Amino acid sequence: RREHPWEPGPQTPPPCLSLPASCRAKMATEGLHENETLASLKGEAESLKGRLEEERAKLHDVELHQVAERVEALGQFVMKTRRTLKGHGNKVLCMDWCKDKRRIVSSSQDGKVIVWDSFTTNKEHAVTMPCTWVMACAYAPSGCAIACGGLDNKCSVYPLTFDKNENMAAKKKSVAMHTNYLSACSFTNSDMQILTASGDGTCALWDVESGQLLQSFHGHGADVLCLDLAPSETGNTFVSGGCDKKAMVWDMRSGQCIQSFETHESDINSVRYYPSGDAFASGSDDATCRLYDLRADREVAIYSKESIIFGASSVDFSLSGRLLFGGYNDYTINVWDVLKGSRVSILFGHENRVSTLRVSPDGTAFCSGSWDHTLRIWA
Amino acid sequence: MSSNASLSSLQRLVEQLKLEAGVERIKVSQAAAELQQYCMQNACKDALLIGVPAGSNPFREPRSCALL
Repeated sequence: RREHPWEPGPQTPPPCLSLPASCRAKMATEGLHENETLASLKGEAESLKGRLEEERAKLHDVELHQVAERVEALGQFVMKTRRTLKGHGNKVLCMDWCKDKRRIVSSSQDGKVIVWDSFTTNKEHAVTMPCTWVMACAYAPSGCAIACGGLDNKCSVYPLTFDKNENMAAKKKSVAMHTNYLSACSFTNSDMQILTASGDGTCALWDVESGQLLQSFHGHGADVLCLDLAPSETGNTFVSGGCDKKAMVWDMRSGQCIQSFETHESDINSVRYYPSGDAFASGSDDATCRLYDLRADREVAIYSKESIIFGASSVDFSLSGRLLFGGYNDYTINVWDVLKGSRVSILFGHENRVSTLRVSPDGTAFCSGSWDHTLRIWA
Repeated sequence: MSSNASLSSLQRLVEQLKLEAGVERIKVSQAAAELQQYCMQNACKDALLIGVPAGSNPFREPRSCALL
């Protein structure tokens, strides 16, 4: 994992002992000038950071859970595993729902990508990738294709065919090329564009048909581990999280980072927009989940308990945004009251880390995937 | 040269910070109230929150078993 590129490296004196004295003197003066400029820029950056914190603090007049004190507390939750999807031969790393609220695509360490009917638990399609650790997979909005990738540094699209004679792998289309592993991918509002996140520290937007890079997003100081697109009503932005502990919100058209948040104490494994698009949640190796409001431009809640010491790998909201589901490395799923900040339920069942978690498109259930090789549907 | 790269990345950082400092912000009290309002308005549609009658959740309805 790379060091933060914003931090300048150690200063080295110009190696110019073989040059005439006049040149050496000139270079020494220039070196001195550069050092002064570096120092003054560093100072400017520090004071700007301070100013940013001050501006944010001015508006911090109350805590979210205080505002929510008058809201009725939630009752007991009865959420159980309703389906178990068995078939992967190794750790499940990622999953995504189809818009039909029924089909699911999942990917695994053993290179297999499977499409399931979650109602019947039947496997409808399966393809073996040429690489192991398929860390990312996504369903196309049309339901007619899936995208996936991982240690191959690419994101590939596979059209889904029901022709039993056709080999799914034959129609594979390589779309994205990164210089390190693919950690996350998502189609935008159509089958035509894919957004990717990578261990190379960047995110990128691609045209599926041509494989052309449409926009790249630079700013993370280390591997980017996750991304989520804003709900379509809120416009063309997305949020990403990385090993630099930062969550960054981007303008998809300009490639510009609009806002960034650095309050986590370790890698951010998962980011997910609140359903209204005005906020997003994150899950981190620091064992907390957090809520950031985009219009207040700050963190507004931390979901944590002293007894929770393992990282949160994956988070998602229920339909109304009232519940936040978090999958953790201690094999459990914690259910949080987003407004009050308290945990309302803890779900047991998986026999290893929960690595991925998504609520279904109509909010009737959520699916979790685990290193125990299975996926579970909870409702 | 490494110092040129450091210079330009610091310049980019300063520009980025200026941009972020200029973002328009609202008070947390207002933001929190709106988050809460969204929850309340959509609670009735949230099956995982309020539960739905046994028949209407496809995952909760009993599945028929086939005896082979």
